[in-house]
Amino acid sequence: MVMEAFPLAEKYRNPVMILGDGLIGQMMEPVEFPEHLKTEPSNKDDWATSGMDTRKSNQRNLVKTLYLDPAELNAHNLKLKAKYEQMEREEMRFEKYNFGGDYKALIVSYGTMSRVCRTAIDRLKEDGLEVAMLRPQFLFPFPRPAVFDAARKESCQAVFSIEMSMGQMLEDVDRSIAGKRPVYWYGKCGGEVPTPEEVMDEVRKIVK
Amino acid sequence: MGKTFQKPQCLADTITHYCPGCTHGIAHRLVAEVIDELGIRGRTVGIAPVGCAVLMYNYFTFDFQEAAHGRAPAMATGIKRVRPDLMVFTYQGDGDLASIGMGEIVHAANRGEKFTTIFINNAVYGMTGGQMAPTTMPDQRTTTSPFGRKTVNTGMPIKIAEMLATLETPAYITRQTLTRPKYVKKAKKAIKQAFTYQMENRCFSLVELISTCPTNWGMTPLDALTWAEEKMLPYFPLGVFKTPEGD
Repeated sequence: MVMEAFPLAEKYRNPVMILGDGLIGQMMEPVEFPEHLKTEPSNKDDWATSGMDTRKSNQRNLVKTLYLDPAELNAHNLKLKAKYEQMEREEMRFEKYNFGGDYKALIVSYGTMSRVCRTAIDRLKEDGLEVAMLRPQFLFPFPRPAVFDAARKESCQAVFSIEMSMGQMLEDVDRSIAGKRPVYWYGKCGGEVPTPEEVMDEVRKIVK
Repeated sequence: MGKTFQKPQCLADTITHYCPGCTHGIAHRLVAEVIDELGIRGRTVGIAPVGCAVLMYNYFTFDFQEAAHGRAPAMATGIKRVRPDLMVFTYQGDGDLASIGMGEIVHAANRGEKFTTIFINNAVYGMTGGQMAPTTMPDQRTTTSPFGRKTVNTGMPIKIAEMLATLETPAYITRQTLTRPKYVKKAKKAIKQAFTYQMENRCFSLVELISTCPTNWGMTPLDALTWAEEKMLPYFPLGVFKTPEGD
């Protein structure tokens, strides 16, 4: 995903923030690098300050954020808004897990935590309790329509936001579901990773 | 008879927002003349600071970027490292460079980044309303030192050129002023030398320019020039403090 960040940053001319955690930071597993990665921004003649000599036109390029005229600043903000809306249309990224059956609960979880949830879901399945997971790969734009649709499934009684944080994703999940289902949070911080058993217990407390 | 005097190609044909008597105009012109003379306009990128000169990109006619406060050296580092063929310069005031941006300039100089910095030292924050800067003179009145700068709790003005010259990394570090025509000519020579070192990919270069701020000093332009000479120059002596040759 780190590799994907660069072309995205070039596409939108926008910083891409890569969210990690302690496990990723300390690189506890083997990492595979692709052989070739080169990103080249498109239409860079229109904006990049690579020297006027590099352009056919006599235009000089300026990269700035200061707009002292309110109308000009408003126009700039509308441009940025359009860009964020384009990201929402084109860059929502998520993965579904165990969506096949009539799941009784939906877990929303990302990163390392989602792998723990996957194990919990497999074990709950063995016990006869179907739970699905939606794993947002991008936290912005947040896959709101997908979370909404998944939560609205008739069999689904509750939604869980399970995170290695104090609920930083909870508001996004809540907002996506718009009150259609009860939303619960479970998580741990400081480097502690919740176990599959803890996740299973949380789900079982609510969903029978 | 041909033209003997004209606006540099690097300067836009526009009115600036600078106050009457401000020396930014002279500094801008010198930079523009040097870039014209070296024939590098098409491959020059300027980095504008935060401060009075934030709008300087409106007055020049080549590529420009605008940096966050004090971060021009970081931006210049990025541009220069990705495109070493470009001529990159930052233009920063004392509030930008010597206060919030102190860490940036020291490390850029120490890494020997091959860009040029024009450092405008007028002993005060200009744009924000005449507050005390790290370079404000002892007992100088500013809006945040209305009874004069007390060195007992604010220390002495920071001598950027001397300080950077202590770094072992090769560099060209000089201090000039713009108070008289003879000094202006010397300042231009120094700026040209700084850009030349960059063209030769030799070293980091910084030209400090002792400048005036009549508006925030509360003086006429002429009195401001005299004050700069009488009060600032004895403390901020002119000269070349370091060259890449080591002399």
